[in-house]
Amino acid sequence: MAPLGPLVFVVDDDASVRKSLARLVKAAGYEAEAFPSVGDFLARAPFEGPACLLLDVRMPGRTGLDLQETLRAAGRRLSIVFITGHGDVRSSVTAMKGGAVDFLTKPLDEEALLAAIRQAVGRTIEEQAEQGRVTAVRSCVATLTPREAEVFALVVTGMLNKQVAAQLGIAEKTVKVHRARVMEKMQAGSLARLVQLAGTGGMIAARI
Amino acid sequence: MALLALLCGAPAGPVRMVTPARTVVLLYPEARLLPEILAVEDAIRPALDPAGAVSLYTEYLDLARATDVQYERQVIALLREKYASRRVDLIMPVAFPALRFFLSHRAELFPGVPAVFAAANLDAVSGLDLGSDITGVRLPSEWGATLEAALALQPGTRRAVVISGTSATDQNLQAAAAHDLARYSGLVEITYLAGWPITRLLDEVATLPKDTIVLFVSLLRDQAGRLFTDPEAVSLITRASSVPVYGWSETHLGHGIVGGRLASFETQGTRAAELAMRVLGGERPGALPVVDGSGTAYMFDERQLRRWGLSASRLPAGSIVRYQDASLWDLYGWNIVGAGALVVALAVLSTGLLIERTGRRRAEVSLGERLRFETLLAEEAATFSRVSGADVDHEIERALRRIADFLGVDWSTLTEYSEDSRTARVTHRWMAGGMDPQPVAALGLGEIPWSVAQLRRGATVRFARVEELPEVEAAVDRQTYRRLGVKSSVAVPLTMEGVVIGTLAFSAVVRERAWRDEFIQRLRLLGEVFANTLSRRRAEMEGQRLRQDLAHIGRVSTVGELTASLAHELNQPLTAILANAQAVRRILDADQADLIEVRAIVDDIVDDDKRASEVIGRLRGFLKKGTLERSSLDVSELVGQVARVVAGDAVLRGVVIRLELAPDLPPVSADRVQLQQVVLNLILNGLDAMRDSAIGSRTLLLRTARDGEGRVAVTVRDSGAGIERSQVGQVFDAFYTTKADGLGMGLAIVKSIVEAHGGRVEARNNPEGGATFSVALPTGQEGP
Repeated sequence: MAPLGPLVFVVDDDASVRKSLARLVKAAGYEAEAFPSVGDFLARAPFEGPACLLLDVRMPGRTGLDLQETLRAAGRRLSIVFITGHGDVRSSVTAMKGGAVDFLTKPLDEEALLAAIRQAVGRTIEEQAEQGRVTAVRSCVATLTPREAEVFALVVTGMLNKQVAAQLGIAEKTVKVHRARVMEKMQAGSLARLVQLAGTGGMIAARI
Repeated sequence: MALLALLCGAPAGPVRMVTPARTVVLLYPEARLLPEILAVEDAIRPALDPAGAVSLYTEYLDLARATDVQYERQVIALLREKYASRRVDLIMPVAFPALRFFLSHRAELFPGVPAVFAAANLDAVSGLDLGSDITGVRLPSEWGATLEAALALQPGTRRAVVISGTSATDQNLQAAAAHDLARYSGLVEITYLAGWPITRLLDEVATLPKDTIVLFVSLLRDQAGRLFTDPEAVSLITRASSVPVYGWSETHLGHGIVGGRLASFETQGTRAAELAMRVLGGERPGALPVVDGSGTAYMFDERQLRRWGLSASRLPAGSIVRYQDASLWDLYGWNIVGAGALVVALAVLSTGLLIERTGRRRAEVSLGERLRFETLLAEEAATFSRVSGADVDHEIERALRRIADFLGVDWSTLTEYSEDSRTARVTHRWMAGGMDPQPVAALGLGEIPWSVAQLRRGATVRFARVEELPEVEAAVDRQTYRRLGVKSSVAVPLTMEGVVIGTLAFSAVVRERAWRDEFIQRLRLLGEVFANTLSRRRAEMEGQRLRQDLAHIGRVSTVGELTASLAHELNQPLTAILANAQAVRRILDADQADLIEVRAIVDDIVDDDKRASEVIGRLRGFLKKGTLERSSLDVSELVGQVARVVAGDAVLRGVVIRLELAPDLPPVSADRVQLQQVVLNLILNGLDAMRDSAIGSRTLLLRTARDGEGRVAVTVRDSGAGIERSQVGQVFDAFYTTKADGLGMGLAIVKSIVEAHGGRVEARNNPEGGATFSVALPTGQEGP
């Protein structure tokens, strides 16, 4: 069996539109899952793989813009392509400000739609990767003892072992031991790498 | 002239009894009566309106929801509708978010109306253009002074934690605090806990090290969307905190903060009212400089100083120390009650002491009671600010019950006066169990004439005992209250547009009770909330009616074109058809096309195409026989009405409409709405026909008359180009049009409606130019 393509979620209250878009997306080589409402979509377990969301703006009950906000608040990484019957300027501004990849009006131009989906899937993958890197660094940091964390925080600011020892009121030898443990736990081969990891994990920014 | 009288006829709606001299609108950012807002309002109201000459409206904007674009649009639409027909003399935005809202939307909402703002903190606001007709009072925040005072009290302080929430007000005040505190960052480490959920915040402040202090800025809403008043949030934080907490507003004092350089909202209101009076007196706001933060003072809570072991001798000079009389009661509270028996024993020895103590206890209870009452009212105000028309009745009854429960009274009623103010109707009531509602429901205005007169003047009626009512003037009232068994009562007027539209009353029948001034004042505020809600419902209902009328007119005037909603309905099947077709093309391009799938898709395309045709069919068959709702109509009156509807349009098109309406026509049995559409279409057709005529010659004559065969005729005669000779027979056909942008449905609809009513249509050219369209309708009461 051929490997599955990225997954495109279609959320639209109109049954015909929903079904036809799912078909078109599948015919273009994607997997598709369609939902009649925001609530139905949210009831599905979050999907961590490559994906994007093809989302109608106006729906009875919660709107597409509501869903965008909900996903953002929940920290879900899923890029959105909005589709709408009327190109109303205010919702398109809201949608684009909220990070939507595109805002297309119905009936949909095939090329524009597929280009937007490609871009949205790409963006989702990037954001998920970034999220993964941050999580990985944070989970390494979590294994540090409080003292190691202190040493880590000071070392990445460019302090020498001697300075770190003075700052923490401990022996330089002890600092060396902690520092080695930090390098090991953080899986960093060099100080430069360690500083990079601290940046990825947001540790440096948090100190400033 | 009959025409003028018709077109400029009396405005719809009731004629107001009293026309207030001035109208002032207070804008509040939240949906709630916050203590700060109450303080401002308490100062503004009496200062601005000592003689009752000013109509004060309050609008709770609930800007916490303003991220919802739809909501903001609705608020704007509502305000526009509400104030469209009313001259507003002054706007008073209270707090910065309300000021910002006003500045963003004033052109749309209140163009040219001057404004005086109050309690707006502008310390961290840049690029604000107030323009020449706005002035106001800036809310000071003096965190620098507070921090210095705190450092004097707690010299070991190394770190300050600043707390704020997520509402617009919270963010505005947080930015101002950051602005103040920036220059102290070298002295102490400053950490901002902005927009945390309350639970996490409480955990955090519970474990702060000794060298830290907490600066409470504002927490009206936390990250999880929970709403607080500042005193509530202050109480929670100060109870949890491991270190002293400082604040910036007088409303924080007494709820657990040590103190600080505190601002007075009362002063804000007073100063703003002074400016408002001057603007209402004719001065230009631009000539009145914005009042910079004034009315701050060093204020501290003796109990908190003691709790944290802080020395009062280190307080800044001129500090005001409150709660110095903190008694055993304050410090040990319920333990004293636990030792009640002992207290009683002691009382025997020292009656004086007991009296002193119970006095204090009563004061304590009343303070707590007052706070609870305030909370209750704030909650009700919040509820009513967002209640929808359909729920109003239910919510009012619930609120009456709640307040009556709180006050411990037996009846509560809301009475609405009729628009001519002659009659009254108890529209909502709550009665304690076992009470007979009948006598109250049937109470006539004439039975309590003195009370009604008081209320109509906008005064409050209250008595703890019936004997307190004037013996002579209120003799009838006394008798009625006695008959009903009312022992004590309080009634406040509900006012709208300066007119008393009803009464909110609470009565005790079981035993007499007194009414405290502060409760009465709050009840009047609540009365305003109710009046606001009722007036909003009226506006909603009027708006609905208006929209229905417009929908009818829209249906007719644009029926030839596709309306937005029909376009949307067509758009969905078209979208599906296109996407399906594109999918099929891709499937067929693949090596092995799944023909079963292709078949299913093509079936769907066919279905969607049918759906699209149905939409078009609905448009065509939009007027069919069989749905007529006939009534007996005066055709002259109906033509006059429609003429009024299009009067504005005619003026814009430079057309003079003349009416020659026969006064005594026999009634016609017809569907009113459809007949309005007939007349409207004929008029619009006539107006369109004169598009290319010389301006001075555009005249449309509408005439009603009895024709020779016992029918009623409506003729519409224009002075346009006339109908081309060869086409006179076709003008009533569907899709006949001379207009580039029309579908030619207007006259076809006229024909189908008139024929459905058993009438006839006719079109001919006038000898002197232009065309005349006429319809003739059979008379008689019976429909076919």
